[in-house]
Amino acid sequence: MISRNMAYKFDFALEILAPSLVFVAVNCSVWFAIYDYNSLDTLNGFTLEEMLNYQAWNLVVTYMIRSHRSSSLSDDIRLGKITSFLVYPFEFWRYYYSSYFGFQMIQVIVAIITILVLYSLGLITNLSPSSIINGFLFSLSVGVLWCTLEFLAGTAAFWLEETWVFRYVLELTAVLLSGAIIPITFFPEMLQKILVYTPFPYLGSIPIQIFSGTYENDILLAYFSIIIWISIFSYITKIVWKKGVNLYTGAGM
Amino acid sequence: MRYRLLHYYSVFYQNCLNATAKLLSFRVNFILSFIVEFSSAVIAYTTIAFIFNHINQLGSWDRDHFMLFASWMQSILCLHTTIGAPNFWNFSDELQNGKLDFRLLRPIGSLFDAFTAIIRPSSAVVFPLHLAIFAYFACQVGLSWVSWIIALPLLILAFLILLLTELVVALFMFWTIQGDGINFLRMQGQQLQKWPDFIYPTPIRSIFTFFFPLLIPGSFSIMFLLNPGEIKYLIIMLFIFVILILLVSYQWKLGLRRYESASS
Repeated sequence: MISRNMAYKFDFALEILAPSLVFVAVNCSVWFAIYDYNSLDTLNGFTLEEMLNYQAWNLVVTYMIRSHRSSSLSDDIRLGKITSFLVYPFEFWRYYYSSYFGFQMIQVIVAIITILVLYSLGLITNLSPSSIINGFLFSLSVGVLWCTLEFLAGTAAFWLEETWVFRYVLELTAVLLSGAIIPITFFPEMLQKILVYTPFPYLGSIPIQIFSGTYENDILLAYFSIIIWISIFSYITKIVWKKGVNLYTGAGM
Repeated sequence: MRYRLLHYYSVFYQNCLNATAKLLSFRVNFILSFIVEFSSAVIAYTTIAFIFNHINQLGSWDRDHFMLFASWMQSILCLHTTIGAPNFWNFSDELQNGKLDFRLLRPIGSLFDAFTAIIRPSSAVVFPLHLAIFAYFACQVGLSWVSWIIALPLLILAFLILLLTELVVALFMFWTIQGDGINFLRMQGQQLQKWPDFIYPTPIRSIFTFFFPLLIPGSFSIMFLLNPGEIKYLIIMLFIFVILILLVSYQWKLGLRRYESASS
């Protein structure tokens, strides 16, 4: 999986680097302008340095969590490629998750390089080894949840011709509600209260706090919540997959 | 010339009809596309709303100005998603599998054919929503009657400049093995364009205004709408438009020389 992803190196570099550079340019510029034009020392409890720090960790978390595998799943279903997997002596989800983790290995390396670059630029100020290790471990766990959500979105290909819509809506919703664009504390209070009962903060806000060493709650509780969410969505995915396979007609057999 | 324009118009019109017929055949896809466009719009506006819950002004602009800019930019991007965006991905595929050959053989400009072949009318469904939001905030900031008159042609000009800047990026696909990376790069430009140019530090602003005019379609057009007396914004837009047309035509010719069909 690593070699497949790295086969087109220029393409790979653009897919990884372009969003990061633009992300840093846009987010840092916007927040810098907000603080600078209004001569603010703090905004909603964040100093400018803390906000830039938040955005920098946000980039690392994005690498670690929100990668895209379901596009290939929907193609595999639509084009009948899963037929061969159905007769192999291992289940398709094993292949899917192992290819996800293969890709994550590259993402971990990219994330480490990103941390070093952002640290040297002064955008990350607090590099505590325990926070970094905790952050990586927690992000990898959340990555499993994201992978499961993407798998679920990809199974829509059993019923629909085009499934990019589900992936896109999932991505958009996750980006906004996880606090990837603006921290969750900037949201209206009512929305903040509702988000506590959803998996969205785990896709952005909480891993960022763990990486930056500002997470105040019990980390074991956070792991427990992630396991619960993974279990719930895995169960739903299993049911949907079974129903989908029952409908499936292997094109190209 | 008139006959030629009519010929191109009739092809484009036929493409629109085909796309609409296809859209009506796949209603679920239509509804899903609508959900995507609507979600994008909600996120664009709520992001600004959330930020302006905590501040009153950003530079000389307040919430209404930012919402006006957001609705203007969303309208441009909506046109782009309807007419431009699907063709960039299709072009990448056609370059790889050699289907571009068929376009080169048709009795019409191949650049025009390659980038207007696919139209996604479902994305245009939210266009009236953006226009309504634009109209509301235009009233709030007190847009002059001149601005109201020039708004539509200016929107089309801004859209064309956006399309041409993306074409400049996309045509580099002729020199790469896969086009996905270039398409990702192209899409990142839209993230930059979603904010007015004055929020960027001078080096970034200069690069994306004068060297590669990504910030021109949104920022310059809205500046001109807010100050119709500042004719320099319109002149620069028209100048950039002409330069981009020449650049894209030259790049297309160079690219075709480099193109080796996968199917032949």
